[in-house]
Amino acid sequence: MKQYHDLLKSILANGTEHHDRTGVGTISHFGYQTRFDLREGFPIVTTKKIPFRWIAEELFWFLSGDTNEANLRARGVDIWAEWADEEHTRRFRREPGDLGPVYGYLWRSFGGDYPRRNGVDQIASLISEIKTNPNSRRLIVTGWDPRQADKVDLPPCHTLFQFKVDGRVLHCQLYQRSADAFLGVPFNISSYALLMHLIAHVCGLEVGEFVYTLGDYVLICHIQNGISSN
Amino acid sequence: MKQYQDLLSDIIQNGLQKSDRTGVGTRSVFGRCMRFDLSKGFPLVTTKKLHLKSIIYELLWFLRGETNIRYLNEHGVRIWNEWADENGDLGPVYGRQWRAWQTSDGRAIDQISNVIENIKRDPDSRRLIVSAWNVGELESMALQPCHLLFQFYVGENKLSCQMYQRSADVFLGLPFNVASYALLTHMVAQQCDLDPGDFQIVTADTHLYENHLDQARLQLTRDPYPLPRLKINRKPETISDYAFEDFEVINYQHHPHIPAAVAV
Repeated sequence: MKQYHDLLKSILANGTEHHDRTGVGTISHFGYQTRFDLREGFPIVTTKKIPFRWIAEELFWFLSGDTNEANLRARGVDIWAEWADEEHTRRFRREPGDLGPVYGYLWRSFGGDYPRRNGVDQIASLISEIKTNPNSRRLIVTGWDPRQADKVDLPPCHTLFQFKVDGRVLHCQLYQRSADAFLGVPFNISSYALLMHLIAHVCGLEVGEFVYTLGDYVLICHIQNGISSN
Repeated sequence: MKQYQDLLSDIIQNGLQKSDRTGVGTRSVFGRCMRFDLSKGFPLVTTKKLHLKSIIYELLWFLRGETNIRYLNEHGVRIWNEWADENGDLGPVYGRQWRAWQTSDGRAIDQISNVIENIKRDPDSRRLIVSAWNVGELESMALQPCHLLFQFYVGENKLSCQMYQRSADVFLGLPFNVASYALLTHMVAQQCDLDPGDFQIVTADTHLYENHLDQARLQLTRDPYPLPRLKINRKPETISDYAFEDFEVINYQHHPHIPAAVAV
């Protein structure tokens, strides 16, 4: 995962200091692109242990369209727990556990009236388009709905992704607006690599390149020491 | 604009041949980006002549929230004509999504005003985004957005912008896309009392049409000139108040125009 190390180094080399929403100092830079050829192996960080099962369970939970944190926690994964307690959900007049229109909803019911599932099922359309119109340049799933962005604690970080079919090979590019390079990025990379495998599998294609494009990518200052040993 | 010359040779060398919607055929690569430091000059291609007029009017038209070609035609700009219906309407294309994204409860979200407000109020925000990819309305658009999402970033008193484009016609379209967003970045920076920083363009399906290959090879034989400068002659009240006459491109040195057919 040399690409991941290069990304960390790029922040240290080009980044500037900021104070963010969470009140913690950060070093950030804007605009980065890297790529992983999935034919050469599954991209998962090897210089620290990444819990693959959490990534898989979270992705399955997204794909099911579910936005209730309790169902993910029931699978032993509590990475969304802090957003799902009563203090957080009450602000949006929702029951504890109900995260609102986050990824699962945006992917499977974009533009709908949450919690009604009356929006567009982007994942179903994507798979059907890949199968019937593989040369399309519109194989896109977006998580950015301006009307929902202020109705959740965490509007989508991995904001939009696009597939491309070259013969039998499926490529994917993700645009991520904000990336926590130390804690989040290793998860994001493996999550989308897994998504590519799933989509390729159901469409009878082979996996190709994953292009990972970032907006604001940051290192949170107190964990900076983690890098030298990474 | 060495970045642009490099992209042309990248596609000629690495591009895969594909058939496409238009039947012309392309050579394409997937997932590329180019970065331009706007403090070093305005990124207008110099290895052929580009006319900025249609780009300025098109951007002003987007910012007016308009989706009918009338305004463009009144100013002699015909780039959208072939897509319009008999009344000149295009459906809810860019202008509508930028300035009045419709919600099911009857509201309209002005993403441009919001993003400028947010840049001023919370410059460290990581949510400075405008999206034109309104999934529920794609079917009613005459042409679905190519440049479909952009994000701003503030650092050291400079405003940077990154734009995501799902499909890029590198010979004909891309130079205009770059100039258009560079212009937008200058305007938003001026409105927010910031200096322009970097503009980065991210392209997904990045292609040269087969009938543009000779032109691209000709262009590669030419050496780029230093970039021109953009001058904005006044500071209008809001982002909606700019006029064509406010912009001046200074010292644009360029090679001759290269004609090429548009794939429709």
